[in-house]
Amino acid sequence: MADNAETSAVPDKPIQVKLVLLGEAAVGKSSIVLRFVSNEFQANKEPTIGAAFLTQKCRLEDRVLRYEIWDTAGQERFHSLAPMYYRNAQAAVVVYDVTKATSLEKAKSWVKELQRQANPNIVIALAGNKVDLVTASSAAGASGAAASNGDDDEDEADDATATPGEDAGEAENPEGLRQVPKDEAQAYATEAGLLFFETSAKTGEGIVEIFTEIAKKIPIDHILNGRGGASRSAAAGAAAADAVNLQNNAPKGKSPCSC
Amino acid sequence: MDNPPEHWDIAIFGTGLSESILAAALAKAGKKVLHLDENDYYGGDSASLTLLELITWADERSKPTQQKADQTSSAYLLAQCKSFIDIQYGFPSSSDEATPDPDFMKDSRIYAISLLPCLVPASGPIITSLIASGVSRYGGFCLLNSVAMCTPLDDKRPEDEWELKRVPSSKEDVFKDRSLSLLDKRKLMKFLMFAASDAENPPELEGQEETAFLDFLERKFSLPKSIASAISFATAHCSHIADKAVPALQRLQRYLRANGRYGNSPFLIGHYGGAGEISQGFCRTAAVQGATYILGRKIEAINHVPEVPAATAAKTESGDAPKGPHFSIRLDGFANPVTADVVVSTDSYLGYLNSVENRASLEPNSMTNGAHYLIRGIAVLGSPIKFASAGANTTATQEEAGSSAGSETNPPEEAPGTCLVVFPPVTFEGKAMEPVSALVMGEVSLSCPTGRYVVYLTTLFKGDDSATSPPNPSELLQPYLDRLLRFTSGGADSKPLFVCYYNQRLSSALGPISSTGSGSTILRLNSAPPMDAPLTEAADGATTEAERIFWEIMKFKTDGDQDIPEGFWPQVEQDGDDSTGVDEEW
Repeated sequence: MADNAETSAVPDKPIQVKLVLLGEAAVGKSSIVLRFVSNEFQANKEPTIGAAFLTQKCRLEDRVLRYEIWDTAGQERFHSLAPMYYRNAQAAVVVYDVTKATSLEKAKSWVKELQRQANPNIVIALAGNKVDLVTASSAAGASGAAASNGDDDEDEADDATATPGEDAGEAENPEGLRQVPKDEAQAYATEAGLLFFETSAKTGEGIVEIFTEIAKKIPIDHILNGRGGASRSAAAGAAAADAVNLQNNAPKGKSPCSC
Repeated sequence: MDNPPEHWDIAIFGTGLSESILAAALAKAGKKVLHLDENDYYGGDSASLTLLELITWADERSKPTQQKADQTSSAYLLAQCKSFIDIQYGFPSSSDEATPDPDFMKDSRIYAISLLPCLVPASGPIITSLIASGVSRYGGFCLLNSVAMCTPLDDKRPEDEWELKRVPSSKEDVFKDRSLSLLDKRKLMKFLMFAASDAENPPELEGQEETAFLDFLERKFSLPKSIASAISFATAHCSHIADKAVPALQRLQRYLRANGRYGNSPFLIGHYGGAGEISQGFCRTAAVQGATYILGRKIEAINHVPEVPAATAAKTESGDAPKGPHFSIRLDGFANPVTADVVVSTDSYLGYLNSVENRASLEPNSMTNGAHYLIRGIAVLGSPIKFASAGANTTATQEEAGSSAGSETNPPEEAPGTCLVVFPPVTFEGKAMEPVSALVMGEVSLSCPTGRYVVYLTTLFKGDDSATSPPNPSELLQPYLDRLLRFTSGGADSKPLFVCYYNQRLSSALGPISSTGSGSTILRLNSAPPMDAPLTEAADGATTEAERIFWEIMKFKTDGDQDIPEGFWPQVEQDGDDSTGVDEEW
């Protein structure tokens, strides 16, 4: 009930945008959101538990977007994301780890999945996270975290570049940890029509930029005309008008013999 | 997959509505939950499927019985083949009935066709759970727009013309309805007042425990047969001609009270296919609370391990391993088995159980003859059902009539986005037919493309000890679909774009399974829709079943070190649990 009150108190009604996060386990999806939403970072964050979605407003010129950010809640671990997750998402951030080549391959397969499952107008951003590990200033302390990320990998055994990087441990040259060259990822993003950023949830680098650039690219008029539903936006509009919100409609105490 | 050995408090097999509600409740109560489904989609027997998925679903469940297949098919599929029988589908409007029009299949993904079509009463266990769990914020609902009765013009000649008539949905509707005499209106109001009243042990019900609802209405309230029939089948949603008065009245009272909560209908329809989408919502909530999901993996075996082998016990330093008797679950492609103290399984997964003494009694095979079935049909139509709108027979429509001349001959019609058409029981060619319901969902339910309508036909087959098998579903239901087509704007000659018929076995009520020893147990969850009012009671029934299992587990797991939760769902989310929305501008 509390969040309903909040929504109605906002003077200029923000435009709701559903944004989904995707990417291999432990690439830092939740950390990116945490940085964006509350400007915090937790080292050694536990796998995602406890948040259905987080919200954050983003002001863009004369419009206010209200991001409703959905985290995978671990359902990506055994590839068990439900269609509901992608449903009506207007934006997606697909995250990989710049110190782990296989995570970009996973990201590419998530992009494919989005193109198959999600609405065709979805704005997708590719984020190469943990870029702090490959820049000189903060590399030393965080390299351990990178190495510990390998637990959930399933099908990367044949990737020649996977192992040496992780063994690098206390690399003298932080660039040595990097397994995904920036221009390679950029080239892929351009080809696939994705926004691209290298980010660090730890330092905050690139985080706000992702969400601002997504906001600029989202077809806002399309959303206003009917929740951005794929090939049935008209229906989605009609349904939105007809829709019943279980929480908004408290029992009205109508006479029981209303039939 | 080189998975590390991992241990869970509870492993739940099947992601149907009931199992999903259970998973969310257990996860919220702090249990470590593993949730599995052999299908690569959520929802199990209550899934919402795309057209292509539905066709695969049908093919998978009809083939193994035809071929030898016992070696290649999983125990799950074999069990499914016993639950869903006589499956047949086709594309009547296509030039070749067996193959679809490619244009039609292009929209496959826009369809969300439900294996558990249901109307959700606006108040009751499922709505309470949706709100208390926070799942309601994931999914939308729309109201059921209209209910209509389709009856033969002449009771004696059901093979002739039928008419379609709206069932009043409010007191005002009843008053306005010109087809009711004043006397009948009075009797009807008297009955409705009685039905909605709180009176305990009303004199009207004395000695009526065994009376059929229809008889009760006709005798105690002197209602004419047509009104009694509308009340029984279109308002109390009786599924059987001989349904008893007491349970029917209890349902009716709930529906009357539900009316008005969210609008002028007691029933809601879930978007995107309803039960399947709601299941996904509960699964997501479970995942958010830490439950692990494994879908689309073949299960190899579920073994009961009465004692922890010494070798395993030695590795138990993490606390993340079984401490006593447990179940060991082998999954295809997993290097190590996963383990759990408690297993909750729907009938379809019981075939994987090994070394459980009472396995034999669990097998669907051993169920007694005379199982009951729901005879089901799914059809996709290219045009809507039309019938006289709410005020068609009333003076109230004259304003409208003024703007559209000639409405004397063309009474205003509506083509509701969602409606329920009920065919009351008739005697057809000497055979008594049970009531048949047709739930129609248009694009407002977000379960089909614009201009398409998905129709769910349902009727009950009550088996008896003579072990008769259910009738051919298409032979039984197709005449009803044809009757319905006459009321579409496409007319009687129009053909459905797609039809699928099948019989769904309602599992006989085996009790909860006795514990397999201290420390670990297996519980059987009944995921079948209820026999009484399957359309309106399925979602509430699934919730009640989830709650029953929840408390079984809580009782079982009371080993002192854990508090039993106060309710099925935690009271209020104190720690900002779900909507951690910081909502600050930057």
